[in-house]
Amino acid sequence: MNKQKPFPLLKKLFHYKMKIKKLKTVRCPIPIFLVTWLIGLVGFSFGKLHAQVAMMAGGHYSSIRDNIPIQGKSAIPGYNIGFSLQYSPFKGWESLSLIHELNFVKKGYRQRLDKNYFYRFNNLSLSVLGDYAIAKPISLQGGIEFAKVTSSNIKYWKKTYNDFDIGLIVGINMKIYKNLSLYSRLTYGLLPMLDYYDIDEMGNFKKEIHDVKNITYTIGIKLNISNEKNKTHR
Amino acid sequence: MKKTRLIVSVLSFASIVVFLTACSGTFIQDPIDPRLPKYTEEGNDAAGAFVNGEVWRSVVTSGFLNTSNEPSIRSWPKRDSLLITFSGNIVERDYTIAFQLKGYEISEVEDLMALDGKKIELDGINNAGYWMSGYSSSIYSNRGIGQIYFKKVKKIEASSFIIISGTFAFKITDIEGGSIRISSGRFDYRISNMEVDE
Repeated sequence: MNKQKPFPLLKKLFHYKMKIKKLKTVRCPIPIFLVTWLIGLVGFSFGKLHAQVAMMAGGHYSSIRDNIPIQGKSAIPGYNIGFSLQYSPFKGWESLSLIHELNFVKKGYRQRLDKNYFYRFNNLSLSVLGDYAIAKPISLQGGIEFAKVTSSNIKYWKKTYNDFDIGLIVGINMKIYKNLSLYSRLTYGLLPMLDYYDIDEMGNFKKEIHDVKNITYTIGIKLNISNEKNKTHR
Repeated sequence: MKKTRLIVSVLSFASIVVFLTACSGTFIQDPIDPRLPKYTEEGNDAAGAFVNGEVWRSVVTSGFLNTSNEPSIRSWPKRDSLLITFSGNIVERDYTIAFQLKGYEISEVEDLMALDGKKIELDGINNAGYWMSGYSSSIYSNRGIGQIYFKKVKKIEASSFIIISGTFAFKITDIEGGSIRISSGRFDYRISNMEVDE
């Protein structure tokens, strides 16, 4: 006897919901990296545009935002070093350009308890930024950063901390010399580094926590190493 | 030939060292307070707590001839009594935390599964916590009041041990009448054997 399955549409919906749930739990979002860079490359080749390749390096103060709270936390200095590719993909909108960056970024924070405890996380980050020239030497920047933690000074860090973060970037860029520009930006991490428990002093588990997010303020310099003629001001 | 023999000897020695030290515990620092071990359910053979603000830590370490800070479980089935002992240190001094529990009918390691998910009140009468200097098991006069929570007790099928993980806290009066407050305690041990007394 052919049994008719009840509510096939509901079942299908449930199936898709489960699929989405599975996607959300992917810990190593390599596809996101690839998609980001593919968009950039397609945009770049599509327009046959003049691009600027630059080396960049900067110093920063990084810390965390938390709700738990983490006692005695404070910011620590760090640095970033990397490359960027900048091009203007929109014809007639030369003041608007896109920047793709690949950086090594050392983030972290300090916790002062009986002594100083340092938490340092080495990240490999890919950023996509929009750059809008507001005046001749100055432009505003905003975009998104995908960062993957590659190593840390914390022993067994992989057993405690999440290794992927997405951050929002806002910043400003100023040309200070022919091939040299100065940038300043704030990176606001969106994903929690920590999935853990809130345990009280008696040992009761109050709730699960998904907390501790990065925040980094950077100042750096960018040196154009391939200074093709670009219609933007840089 | 001599060189080969030497290499073989060195490798054998290294293997023995690796084998003997492989059973040591793992201290994963707590992300909120790094002085304590993180609460885990992996059988890391580690525990920690604050004792009047000082940090008591226990990490099982295996040397050539001895193993230190191994937890011990002793049961008296006729009295339906169980004594769980965690050994550790505050800086260089040895201290032991122990729990006496009654009414769980535990007479062999597998019976520990009965504790899974149990939050036990240490009332100082049937169940109690103890704080002892060194490894002395003689000072059981002062009985601590608080709680021990066996959040997860699980059997690892592939091996012969049981993992007990949980938290604890209690207050106890010391010999001089002072108060000792043990807080934010957590443990994650592998238990493969226990003593059974009449």
